[in-house]
Amino acid sequence: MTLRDFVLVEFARAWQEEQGAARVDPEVVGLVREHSAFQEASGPERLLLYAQALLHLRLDDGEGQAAAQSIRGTLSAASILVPLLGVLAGTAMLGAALPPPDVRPVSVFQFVAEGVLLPGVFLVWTLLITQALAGSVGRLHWVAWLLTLVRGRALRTRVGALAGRVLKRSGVTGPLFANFSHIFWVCSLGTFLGLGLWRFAFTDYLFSWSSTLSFTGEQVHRLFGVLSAPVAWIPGVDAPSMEQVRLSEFGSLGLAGETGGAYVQSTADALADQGLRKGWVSVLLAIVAVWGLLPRILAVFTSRAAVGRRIRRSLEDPTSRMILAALSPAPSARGAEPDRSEPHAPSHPEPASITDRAGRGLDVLTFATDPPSPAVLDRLRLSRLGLSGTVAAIASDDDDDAMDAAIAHLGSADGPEGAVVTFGVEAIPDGLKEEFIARVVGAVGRDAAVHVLLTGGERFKRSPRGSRFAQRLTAWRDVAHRAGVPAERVHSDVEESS
Amino acid sequence: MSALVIALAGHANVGKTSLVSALTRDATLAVNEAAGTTRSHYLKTYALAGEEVLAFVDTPGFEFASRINKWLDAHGGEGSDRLDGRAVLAAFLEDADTTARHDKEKEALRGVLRADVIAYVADVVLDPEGQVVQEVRLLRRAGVPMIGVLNNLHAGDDQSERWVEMLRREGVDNIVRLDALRFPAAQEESFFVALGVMRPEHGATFERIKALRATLDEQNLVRAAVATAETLVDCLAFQHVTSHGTEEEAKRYRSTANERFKEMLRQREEAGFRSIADIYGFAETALEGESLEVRSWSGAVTDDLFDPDALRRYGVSAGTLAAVGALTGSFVDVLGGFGVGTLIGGVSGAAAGLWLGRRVSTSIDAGTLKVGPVDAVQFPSVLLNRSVDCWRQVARRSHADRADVEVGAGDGERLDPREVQSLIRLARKCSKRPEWSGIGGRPGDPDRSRTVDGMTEVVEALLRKQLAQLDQR
Ligand SMILES: Nc1nc2c(ncn2[C@@H]2O[C@H](COP(=O)(O)OP(=O)(O)O)[C@@H](O)[C@H]2O)c(=O)[nH]1
Ligand SMILES: [Mg+2]
Repeated sequence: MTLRDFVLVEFARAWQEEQGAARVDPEVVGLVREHSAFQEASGPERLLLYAQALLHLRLDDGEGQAAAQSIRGTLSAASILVPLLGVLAGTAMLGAALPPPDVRPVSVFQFVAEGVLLPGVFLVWTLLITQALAGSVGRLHWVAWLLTLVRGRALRTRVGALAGRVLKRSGVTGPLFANFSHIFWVCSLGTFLGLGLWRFAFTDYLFSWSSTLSFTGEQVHRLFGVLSAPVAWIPGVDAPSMEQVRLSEFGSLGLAGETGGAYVQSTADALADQGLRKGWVSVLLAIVAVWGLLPRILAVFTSRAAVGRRIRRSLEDPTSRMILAALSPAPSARGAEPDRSEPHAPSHPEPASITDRAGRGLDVLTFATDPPSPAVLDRLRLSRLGLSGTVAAIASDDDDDAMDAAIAHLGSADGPEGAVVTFGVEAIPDGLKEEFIARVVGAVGRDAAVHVLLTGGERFKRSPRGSRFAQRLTAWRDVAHRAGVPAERVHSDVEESS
Repeated sequence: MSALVIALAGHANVGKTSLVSALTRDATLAVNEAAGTTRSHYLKTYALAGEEVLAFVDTPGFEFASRINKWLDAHGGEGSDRLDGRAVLAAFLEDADTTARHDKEKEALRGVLRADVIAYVADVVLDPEGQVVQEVRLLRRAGVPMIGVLNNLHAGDDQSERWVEMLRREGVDNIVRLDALRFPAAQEESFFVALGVMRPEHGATFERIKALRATLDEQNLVRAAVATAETLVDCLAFQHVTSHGTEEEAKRYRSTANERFKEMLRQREEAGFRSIADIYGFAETALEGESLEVRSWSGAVTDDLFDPDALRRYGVSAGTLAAVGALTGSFVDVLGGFGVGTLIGGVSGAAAGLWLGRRVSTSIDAGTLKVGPVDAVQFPSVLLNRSVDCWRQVARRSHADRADVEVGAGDGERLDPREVQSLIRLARKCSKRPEWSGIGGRPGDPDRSRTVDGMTEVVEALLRKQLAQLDQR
């Protein structure tokens, strides 16, 4: 799967997570199954189909669609911009390394510093930082934010957070970031070398070294001996000789005199220069190619492989397995599975793993209140969560048997993936309700989606306690929170304000 | 005879603590929208005139009554070994295994077992089904006489009828309505009557409470009238005097002095409001900051004394002023005395002149700057009406009501011409005696006292008139 496609898949998942939707949306599963390309599609392709269908069906607001596109667009833009910047940087670096030939000689130290030391330092830094990023990419939130800045204000908050989540959840960000960095340096060093070769072919340059640290000629000779060791086998590339090094020391160059700051070569040394120049050109270019460029080329491949590995890993995670399981065309097979998972006595049903419940969506559970109308579910956008269509009711708050039965069903292999637990907002958010919500969370699993829906808000607001509506919602949120349902998953059928 | 002990029990958050608050006139009990605010039971005695007349047990709310009933059924024993209700309850209270889960319920049951009467509090917004039915059954096991109290009442879609039905079915025949937030005197009275029927030996207590309450009410009214009158005299007589080296300096200070003057008046008025609220038991803020906020007294004084709109709403109407003029026999004289002579310019100018007029007189006399008193004809009635407005908010307010008291929200009650006449006469007297103002000094003038008394009479009459209205609602 390409990175661009993968981003779509990740975005769809991030959206589901953020909404607290079912990880496998039954309605989307239905759509994908009917898709013409479905039968022949491979696993990853099915995941992509699922993501596309989900985004199409559930993010009907345009904003979300645009967000997915904007992340993909940003990736495409980066894959053009980064090499372009690399070429520009390489050109600039070479320009800095090569002064006009009649002004002063080329500094071999600067050449090596730009071609080897600088990329080397950045390589180490990149490796370190991507290592760190592999653990936590929380810091990269602002990158996502910056990306969405380009797309305008409306996208920033919600989509910025979403994009941040996409970056965060797959772990693809570190290798991807490294990959871009390596591509940048390959392009800039390639340009540096190519342009250098071209310049040296048509222009005569003089080379010298000088040092504010008191390097001796021997030390420089030894240094270049080491640097050129891996390239000495190339015909025409020789480690600079001691004589060459000594003659190239800036102070010992025969200077005819300075005229207006320009350096004029003395004719006496012209012969010696010929030898010096040729000797330096080839060895310097070879050193940059081997020490600077080569590691970066290798790094491009390894980081690309790492990105691919991360993508694959993400496509094989439990969520992917759940989606694929739900998509696989034998729904009756699931009924047969318990034989395999229950080798021992089936007297006490083990809580089913979440994969067993793939594609079942979220049940609506009512607790001593009437079921919410479809219109309410639509208005609150809860119908986007992948509801199962099943409404289970606990008629009375003292019916322990009904509660036990509901919880048992939620935890069983036939159970839904999550639940929307509905209460009347006028009911008192007490310990009993807290306990029940906590049991629901426990039954479907901590990482599954559980929502709390409070109905009858209008009536409550009209009652004498109406002015306390906001406090009542807060009390419900507190109860839900203690039971393990985050506050943003508590919905009321009327707005809190006004 | 020791005081009758009444335990308030019921589901969490139905208003038990609110009712104790209202019944004992204590606005400081912790009341909250979150269930489980009251964690252990406590005895709250109610004293009137230094005499303990009643005691209430406030209890934590029930949340798991059905399970407790199950436990009790399972441990009640069979046949001849059957324990009676109280004995099973005692066994439950002793049982260590259930303590972690049901500590609040156990606390509630302990409280209930101390009481002579259980008042089962119901929130009529809730359905009388499920847990609440279980609660009634659970409480009946204590073998203590029980009265049903319907709280949170409102017209229309409440479920009182169904509650009454349910309570009767469960054997609770005494049922009263008692809304903690509105807390009308008649409802409280009928609650006491019902208690008196259940506990005839305490019948005299309720008679006594009634008598003591009436006395207290009367005292409070007079105290509020005096407080208002003091405020009025202080404000009406107030003159802010500063001395400066030169007349120039004094002139430069004039706007500052003006502001200072107004500010001091405002503070005095607020202090007046505060003392009226104190009289009616709204002095303290609750620990959780949920009750009457003292800060809101400055925050909620939305109407500025010097706001033209306030003048319009609280001032005396033109018609009344005309009547006052007729009463005194000289319309022009009344107004002229307050420097509103511009009025006589014509019929159309009359109304405007009434509102405006010269409000704060400022004089500079060789370096002495005098600001005040306010001599606008409307000013005394603005002050009076605002004060009365404050009193109206607290005089019949339930102590369960934790909302801010907002002064200046209502329309001022109009005084009748005769009252305005004496008010203006007294105010005029004050404005000539800056030394009477308690603002920034101590008044001790006997004539001032006489004026305060006169003022008190006016205020008291007004309060009585209004009290009748308040009680009608
Ligand atoms: N509107 C209205 N609210 C009430 C009434 N009684 C109590 N409340 C509110 O209900 C909530 C719970 O009251 P509280 O006295 O703490 O209940 P407790 O848990 O039974 O002691 C508070 O927010 C009260 O303000 C009432 O009669 N009317
Ligand atoms: Mg309480």
